[in-house]
Amino acid sequence: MSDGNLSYPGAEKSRRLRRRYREEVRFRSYGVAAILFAITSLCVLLISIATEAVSAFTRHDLSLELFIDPGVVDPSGERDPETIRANVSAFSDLIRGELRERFPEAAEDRDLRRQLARMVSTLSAEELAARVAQSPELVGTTIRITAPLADRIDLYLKGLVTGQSVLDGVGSVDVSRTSEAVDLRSQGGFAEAYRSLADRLAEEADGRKQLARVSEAAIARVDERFEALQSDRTELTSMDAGSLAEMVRQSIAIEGQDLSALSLAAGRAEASGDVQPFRTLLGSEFTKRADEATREADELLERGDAFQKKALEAEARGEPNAETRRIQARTAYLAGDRRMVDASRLEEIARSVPNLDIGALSAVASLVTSRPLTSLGRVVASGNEEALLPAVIEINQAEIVAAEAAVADQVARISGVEARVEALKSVSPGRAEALADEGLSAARSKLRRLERDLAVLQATRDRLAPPVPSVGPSVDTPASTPAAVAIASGSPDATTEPAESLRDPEEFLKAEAEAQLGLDLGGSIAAAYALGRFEGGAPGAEADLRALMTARLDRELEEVRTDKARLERKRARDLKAATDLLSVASNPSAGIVLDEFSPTVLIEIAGGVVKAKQVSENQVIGQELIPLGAAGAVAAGSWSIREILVPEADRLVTDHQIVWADQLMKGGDIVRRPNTSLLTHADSTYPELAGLAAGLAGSFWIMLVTLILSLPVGVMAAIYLEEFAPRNWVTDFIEVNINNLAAVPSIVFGLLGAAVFINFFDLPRSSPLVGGLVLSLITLPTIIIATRAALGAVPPSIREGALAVGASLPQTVFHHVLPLAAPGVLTGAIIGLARALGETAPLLLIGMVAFVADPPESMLDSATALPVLVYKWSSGAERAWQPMTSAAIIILLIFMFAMNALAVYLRRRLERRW
Amino acid sequence: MASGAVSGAGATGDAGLKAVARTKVRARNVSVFYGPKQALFDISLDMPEKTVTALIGPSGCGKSTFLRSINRMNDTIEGCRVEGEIDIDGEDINDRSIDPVLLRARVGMVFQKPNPFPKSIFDNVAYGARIHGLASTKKEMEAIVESSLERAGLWNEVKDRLNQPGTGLSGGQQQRLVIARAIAVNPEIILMDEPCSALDPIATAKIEELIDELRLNYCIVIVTHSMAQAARVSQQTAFFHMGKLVETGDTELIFTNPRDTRTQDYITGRFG
Ligand SMILES: Nc1ncnc2c1ncn2[C@@H]1O[C@H](COP(=O)(O)OP(=O)(O)OP(=O)(O)O)[C@@H](O)[C@H]1O
Ligand SMILES: [Mg+2]
Repeated sequence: MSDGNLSYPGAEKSRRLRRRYREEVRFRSYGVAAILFAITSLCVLLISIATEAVSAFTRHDLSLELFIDPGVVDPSGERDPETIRANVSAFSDLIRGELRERFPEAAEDRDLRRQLARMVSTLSAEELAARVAQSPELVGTTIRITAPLADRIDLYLKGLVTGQSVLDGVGSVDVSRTSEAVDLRSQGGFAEAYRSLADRLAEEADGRKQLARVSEAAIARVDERFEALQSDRTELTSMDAGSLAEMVRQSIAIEGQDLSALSLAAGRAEASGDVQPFRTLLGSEFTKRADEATREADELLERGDAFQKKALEAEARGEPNAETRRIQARTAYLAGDRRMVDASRLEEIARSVPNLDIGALSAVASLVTSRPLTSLGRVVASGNEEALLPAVIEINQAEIVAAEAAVADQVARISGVEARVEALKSVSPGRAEALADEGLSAARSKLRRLERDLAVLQATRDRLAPPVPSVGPSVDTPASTPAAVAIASGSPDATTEPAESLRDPEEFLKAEAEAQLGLDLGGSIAAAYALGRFEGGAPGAEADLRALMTARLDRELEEVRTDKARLERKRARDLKAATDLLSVASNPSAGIVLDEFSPTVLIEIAGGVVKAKQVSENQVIGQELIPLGAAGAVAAGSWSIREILVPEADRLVTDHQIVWADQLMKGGDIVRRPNTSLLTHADSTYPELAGLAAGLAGSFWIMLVTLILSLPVGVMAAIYLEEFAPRNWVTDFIEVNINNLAAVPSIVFGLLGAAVFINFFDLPRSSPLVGGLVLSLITLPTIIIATRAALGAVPPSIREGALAVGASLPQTVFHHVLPLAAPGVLTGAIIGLARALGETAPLLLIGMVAFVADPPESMLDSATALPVLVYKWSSGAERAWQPMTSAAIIILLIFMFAMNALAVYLRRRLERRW
Repeated sequence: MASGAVSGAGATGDAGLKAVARTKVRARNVSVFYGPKQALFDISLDMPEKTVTALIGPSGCGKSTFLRSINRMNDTIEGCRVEGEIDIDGEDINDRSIDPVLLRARVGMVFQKPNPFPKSIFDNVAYGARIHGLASTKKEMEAIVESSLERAGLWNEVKDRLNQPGTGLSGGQQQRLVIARAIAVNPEIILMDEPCSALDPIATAKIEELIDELRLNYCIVIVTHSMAQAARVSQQTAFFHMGKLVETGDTELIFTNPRDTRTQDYITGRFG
């Protein structure tokens, strides 16, 4: 053997050896690193949860000597336990009275009284009432009670509400009182408190300066934009007609809309007299819309049919949702029928388009663009009266034409609806009735609205142009169109309504025009129309176009200008605030004024507590929270300053409550004790009352159901597959799918559970039975896989041995293989159950998120589960929910670890060597 | 040609042994297939009562396969198929009327590696008797256990620790425990597949002694790789080679005067 080794060259051999050692070391270090990483993450996680949870495991109670005043608690003197128990408010009064006696300064002020009363939990009176009701002989005696403090006070005492710092107070203090304030003077005694506050002010000033700088940058950006717009505007006035048109064309393309194309064609037709392209475009637009409406109508009616069918089925089966289905059907039918009317109306228009002249075409087009086709440019841009009036009149006319067209269209639609109602009467009376009821009334009220708009416009026309003949013809021109004919027959008395809202017509129209420019997709319809007119060679179209574009730029400039003004105001505000803050901070003799947004500075002196209102180095002016003793000099060292860092406005505990709580704590009246209610109470909306009892019971029931269902089924399935089933594609397929099932996200099982167990089998929602069923589905694959692995690990020699002495296959499996596999089976089952214990998502889906006030007593009661409580509490808004959540997590983890430990223990216990 | 040699050998073997005992197990034209692969070809062999038949041959030649077809353990192997006829006392064991479980109670088997159940020594021995209902009282059961252990030569060593696990015994003791377990159900035939290959010489000697005693009551078929062992314990020897039975006959004759050169080569250690 040594011969063989020597036959290798020595260097080669040692190199190989070294490489092998290096590899081994590397591999080992990877492993160690991975383990270390895992352990650290786990530790960090656990420690962070645990530290947060610690505070929830204890709570602060107020310990009081209380005289159970018979006059208050049991005025009738009957000592009836039930009456006493019900009289919670009386006990509440007792506790409050006792507190008020301790802090007499709270007695005069309503608000202070409320603050004082809120220091104890609402639970305390209830507990006391229950205690006295149990032993009525306590009435009339003095007893010691422990009343749970309100959650916020509890949190404050646990240090979770605010940080505090004790500041040096040096020297002696002179205390004097004015009418409503306390004046404390000490040469340099408050220097540190002052500095701390001044630092804070300086910080805040920095913040404001930062904000001002942000505004400044924004202003610079706005300036740039302003200049760019300005130069565009200058360019516009000198631009030749061709490039102007190009510019407009581009701006339309940017805002690209079918409606722009339509407006462009309308403008061209109007200017050049060649109506055909416009006609074709408009015709195809309406045909397109008609097709769309038909398709939608078909869809809706089909949906209606489907709902109707479902409604009938549901009715036949006596299900309660039949009515809902019928309403759905009715809604779909109604919408479909209305859309049907739309479709036929649109088709009608499309058919009429080839016969219309330009005026009527524009009117019809305005039904699509929903505003009149005009080039608003002149109106907006014009500064002089003479140019304005004709333009205003022109727009008014166009609007009247558009409004008339809308009215006529609506009238036609109404008759369309009526026709449809008639037609439906024979097919489906229900649908006809619905359409007559709702479709007709809606259509009629829309007609009334449109008529009112028209009346307003007509009144404006009358005011604008008193010489009727000059305006008359242009208004009458469209009177020959179907629109105007329809309006005449539709509403003869529409114009009788006085338009009192009309102000100065020019102002009104100008404003109206501007508004339209803003509404109209940034003015693209008007721009397109003007461009069309320009291309059609209409006189003055170029000026119109230029004016329009100028107006658009002006609008933008105006917007930018207001933007800039706003930013500048904000910057100025921030800068001023910063200077103000700094000036206060840099003037020690003036003193800093504290409000509810500043930290609270408390001075404990002369047996009382003063809350500082104004602090300078040598003087504090403040308010007594706890009355001081005599005024006069207080020696150095016998007073102290405390800074409560979180401002009063940012916390739920008031300064008074803090001082009272501290006082009670100092007097030994507050005891810290284990928070047993965490385990004994059910869920509650108050964090200090909430507990896990319901969740524990719920989880217990769920686990029971899961265990009973999934263990036998899973083990039997695994035994069959592993020991008895023939190996063929069916069993292969089953095996693959069991592995797949194990990988399915649990929420999917939740959905399945909701659909099958609740909706189909009608089991009670959020009951442990359903929860257990769903979780069984989740644990089954785990158990099957674990069991199969455990069975497979039993050595074949055991099987052979058993078979060889004449044991049958089932005997072999149940006498020898299964007992040997039992540790593995149990481990798998317990780990599966532990996973199920922590599952939240599927439980939420089967409704377990509902508030459950009492622990469930059977498998069919509404229940909640531990992880669900964790989920719910974690979304609680109050700060006190956070430690509660962590505590719940810890308890959940304890159960899971216990289960896993049980698995390990059972494995050790049952494992036998072979 | 090979079959001629076999039948010739069988004939001389039969002639030599007929005087000693009647045939207990008779294999005729047994072929075994593992899926498409044929492991045994037309084996015909008679194994007489109260005789130890040794199966020898190089590794992979099909000794275990043949042994396992005698108690139909091959049934438990997926894809294994046995053709030909095996009779025990003239009864075809592959007949449909034969229940393999009952058959295995008549034909005990001992494996290469001792495989006691992870139960107590008592339960190991009692298990077979219990499932076959051989004892109706506790006393009877204890008697069966005691006599089985006695016959397996283990009683004196374990009588004070019957409740301790069988897996706690030494290898040789375990193998004897397994033999006791097989005996406890009153088999007529005992199949042993290299029962001593995992044991030290002393334990081996004990087992061989035991086999020699058991021969008085049972038909024993033993597979072994040790020529010496075959020569020591068996009266009849069958030499397998590549799935074929090359030669069979009186052990003494085979070892002193093999007719086939392959047998001679194997015995003298030239291959295998
Ligand atoms: N379960 C099986 N599936 C497929 N082929 C098998 C199986 N068991 C044995 N064989 C094959 O059958 C042939 C005979 O095997 P067998 O185990 O009977 O040999 P053996 O003579 O007992 O060998 P050894 O002395 O090594 O135990 C071998 O070629 C082996 O590969
Ligand atoms: Mg073998």
